[in-house]
Amino acid sequence: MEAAPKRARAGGGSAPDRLSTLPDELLHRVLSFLPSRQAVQTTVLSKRWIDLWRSMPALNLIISEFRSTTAGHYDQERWGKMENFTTNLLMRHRAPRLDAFRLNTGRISGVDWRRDVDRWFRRAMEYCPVVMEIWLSRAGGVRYHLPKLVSCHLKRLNISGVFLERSFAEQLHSGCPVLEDLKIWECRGFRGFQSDTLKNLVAFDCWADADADTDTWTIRAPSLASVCLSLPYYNSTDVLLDTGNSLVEASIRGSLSYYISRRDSQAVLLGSLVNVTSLELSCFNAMVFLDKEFDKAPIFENLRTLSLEECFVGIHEEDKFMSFGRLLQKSPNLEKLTLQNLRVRPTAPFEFPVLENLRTLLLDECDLCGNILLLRHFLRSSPNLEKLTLRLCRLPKVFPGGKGKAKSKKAYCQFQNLVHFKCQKLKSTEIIYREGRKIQGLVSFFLGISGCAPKNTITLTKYEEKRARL
Amino acid sequence: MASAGSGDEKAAAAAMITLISSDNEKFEVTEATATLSQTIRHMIEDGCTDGGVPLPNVTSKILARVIEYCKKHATAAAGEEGSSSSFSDAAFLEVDRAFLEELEEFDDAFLEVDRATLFDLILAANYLDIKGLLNLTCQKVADSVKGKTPEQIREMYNIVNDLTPEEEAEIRRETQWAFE
Repeated sequence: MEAAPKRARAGGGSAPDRLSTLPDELLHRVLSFLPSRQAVQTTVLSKRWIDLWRSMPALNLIISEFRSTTAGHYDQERWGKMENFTTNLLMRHRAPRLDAFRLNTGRISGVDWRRDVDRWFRRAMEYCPVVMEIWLSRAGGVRYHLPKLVSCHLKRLNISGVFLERSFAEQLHSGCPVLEDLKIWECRGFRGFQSDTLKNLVAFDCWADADADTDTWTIRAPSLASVCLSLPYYNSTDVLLDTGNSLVEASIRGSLSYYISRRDSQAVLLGSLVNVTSLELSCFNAMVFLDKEFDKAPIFENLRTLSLEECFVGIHEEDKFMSFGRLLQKSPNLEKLTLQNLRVRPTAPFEFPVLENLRTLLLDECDLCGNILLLRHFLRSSPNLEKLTLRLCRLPKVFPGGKGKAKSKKAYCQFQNLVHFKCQKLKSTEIIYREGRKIQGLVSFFLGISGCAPKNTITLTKYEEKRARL
Repeated sequence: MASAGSGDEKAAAAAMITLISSDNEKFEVTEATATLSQTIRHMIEDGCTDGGVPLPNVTSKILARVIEYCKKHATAAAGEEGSSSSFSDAAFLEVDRAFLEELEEFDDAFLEVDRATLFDLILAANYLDIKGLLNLTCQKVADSVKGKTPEQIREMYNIVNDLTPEEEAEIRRETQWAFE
């Protein structure tokens, strides 16, 4: 290293400047974690720093770095500063390649930023970045198409707030030959794509055409390992997901709205996830699992971890319970099951499948009110259950420990009578409860069944608001 | 961290690597832990790790910390060793997810070091070519200067301003667009 910085000489015992003695490569790495405006400002620190920013390997252009001082034209002024900064930076920065190019315009409005962004995007493409993240403002319903996407080094692409053209699918396929991660957020015009290299996909709050009753997304990605999708809520979207056998993890948010008549397309989508080992579903209507298309789907042989949130919404109690059972029947090898906000009441006559491999069960904010039988079903059908957690569940009023003594006693006996099960392996039951909620009934229930689950220990945990979700 | 069954232990024992710090202290680590370092991985591939791997640029104090990091992250990376066997891929995913949170906590705690140690870790991570650790430590430095003025950064890291006032004014004029 030439130009080694001077140590603090007269500094009266102050520590040496270890930062400036780092090699260029490492200082570049530090700079690439900073918003670019800040990174450029290091130019005045000392002689050592004058030119470092010129070859930093990541550019992070973020509107929040630019403040307005005058009232009134707040966003215009901020954009003016960002535009001036970015133009200067792109002109003077001289790294041949970029590891990452990130652009975030926040929720800027009242400015037509499209031509500027176009220019920057084209320039960014010349750097052949490995990572590209573009977050554009959707304020004012601005319709913005990205310029052509061609980058032979691009591995990760995140885009948000963009109107995707029909050619997007083709661009991904031929223009991004090594793409592995794709995240599309709040983008219109999304109709799917093809990529032979993609491993991880997130497509959230995207839609093809808000005016059409039906849309079709076609996603062909033979190397895809994980997918996270949300379906549009206002129309029926057929999703053709062709991933070969590569997919191991899927998270799908369905669409609950009642006026969607076609459940079969959602059922077909679920059928295409048949190889996954881990599955998260939220907002799926009960009828999807009762659809004959779902019947046609093979058994989810590999599925070990299943998480269901607000699923099985329906009009008839029988449908809800039956669809829940139908899904469990398709998942015979489950080891871990998480149920959030489940409001399903067991209704006879439906045979609850035996979950031979289930070891962990979490009931999260489920409604067990007048519905404690659900718990019975699980205890009876899960001979190898090891860990049970009941988190913030609503409990029945007439449960033992409740107020109406005679009534509760009757319910308790009834419940006990109904319980014939052996959970020899159940080691731990955790009840997470809100302050002030009566849980004695539940506790005495578990104490009462200790004959059925001899190794069980009961833990009570008071819920702390701090640990609330999100 | 004790791991897995006896079969795995045998396999692991067969693939132990000895790392030797600049002050001649010896550290025995599994190959899975050691190969988080690309530098060491290449040495293993070239078959030149018999009799230990001398690391003349890393003191025992820093090497111990680096190994602590690698052990933790090697368990996360290689699912096979993290879970209690017999499970299939699904279990790994689960392990992964729980591990991610645990790893984050670990990383946060790991970075609770004085500045001199942080710089030693950066240099060691660079020398040993451990990308995760290098990013983690460089990010820590970046976070520490985020939102600070140049004057504050100088003070924080004892950077001596060797620019004359005229030179500094000239640079500020040239890069005025970054200071507006």
